[in-house]
Amino acid sequence: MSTVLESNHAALMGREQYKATPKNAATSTAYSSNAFDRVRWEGCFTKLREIRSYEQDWNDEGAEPLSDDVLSMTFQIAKMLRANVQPAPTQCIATEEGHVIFIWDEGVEYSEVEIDRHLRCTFRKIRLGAKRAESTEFDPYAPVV
Amino acid sequence: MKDQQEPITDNEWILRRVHLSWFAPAGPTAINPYAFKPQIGGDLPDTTGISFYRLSCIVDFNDILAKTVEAKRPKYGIVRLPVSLLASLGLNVKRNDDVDAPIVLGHVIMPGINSINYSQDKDAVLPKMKLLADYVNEHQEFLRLPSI
Repeated sequence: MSTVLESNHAALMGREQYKATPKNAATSTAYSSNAFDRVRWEGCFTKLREIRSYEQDWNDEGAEPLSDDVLSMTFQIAKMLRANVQPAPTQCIATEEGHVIFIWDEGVEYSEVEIDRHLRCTFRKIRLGAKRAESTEFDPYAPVV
Repeated sequence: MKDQQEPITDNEWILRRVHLSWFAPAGPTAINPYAFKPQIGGDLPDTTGISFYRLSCIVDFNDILAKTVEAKRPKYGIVRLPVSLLASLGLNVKRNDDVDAPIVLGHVIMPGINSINYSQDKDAVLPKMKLLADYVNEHQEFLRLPSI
C-alpha cells in the first residue's frame, strides 16, 4: 500500500510512484543506482546528523535545539524517500522555529517538504513565474485511499 | 556617502547579512530562499519587515556586522541587491533609521516580507524570498562569504 507521502512526492518529482513504507524504509536496500544521487543522499544524512547535534543558539540568533520528535520524523521521511529511489534534496535546513526543510531547487521548479514542530508535513512547490507557492499538508504515513 | 535620512533611490544597493546555514553546502556559491526569512521569535521578531542596510550610507560593507558579536562575524556572509529590482517583484524598502544610537547607519526594512505574513501565508511570501535568492545567485552578488 502506498502512502500520501509517496504519492505526493512521486508526482512532485515527476517520477513513478515508489514502494517503500515507513516499516521497511529503514532496512530497504533499493537505493538509487545513480552514483550522483547516492552521494547527495549521503550528504543529506550527514547534514541531518549535524542538525540533530545542534545545541542552544545553533543559528547564532538564539534558536533552541530541534525536538526529538521532529528529528525522528525527518529521518524517517528521508529514509523513505531514499529507499524509494527519489532524488536527494539539494539542501536540508533547520529553522529557528524548530522546523526541518528538505529543498529541491534545480532547474525551473522549486519544491520543499517542511516538517514543523507540531509534526505537520507540508509539500510546497513554486512553479516558474508563480506568485504563490502551491502547498499540501499531509500525513506521511496515511495510506492512499 | 548619503545621509541615512535622505530618500532611498533606485540607483542604490541594499545589503543583508546571511548566516552560513543559508548557504549551499557544496557546489557554486549560492544561498537558499531562507536567507530572506523573517525572524519569527526571539527578542526582535521581524514584525515590520526583514532588515537590510543601504550601501550608500556606510563606509565599508563589513560595517553592517557591527551589531554582531565579534566572535560570530566569520559565520556571516553579506549579499547585495539593487533597489531597482524590488518594484518588479512587488517589494520595496522603507527607512527605519536607528536615530537614538545608530550603530550602523542606513537601516531599512522590507515590509513585504515580515514575520506575520510569513507565519500566516507562507505560500505568498516564499516565492518572493526565492526571487531575491535567485537574483543574488545568478548575479553572484556576494560581497563577503562566511569564513568558517
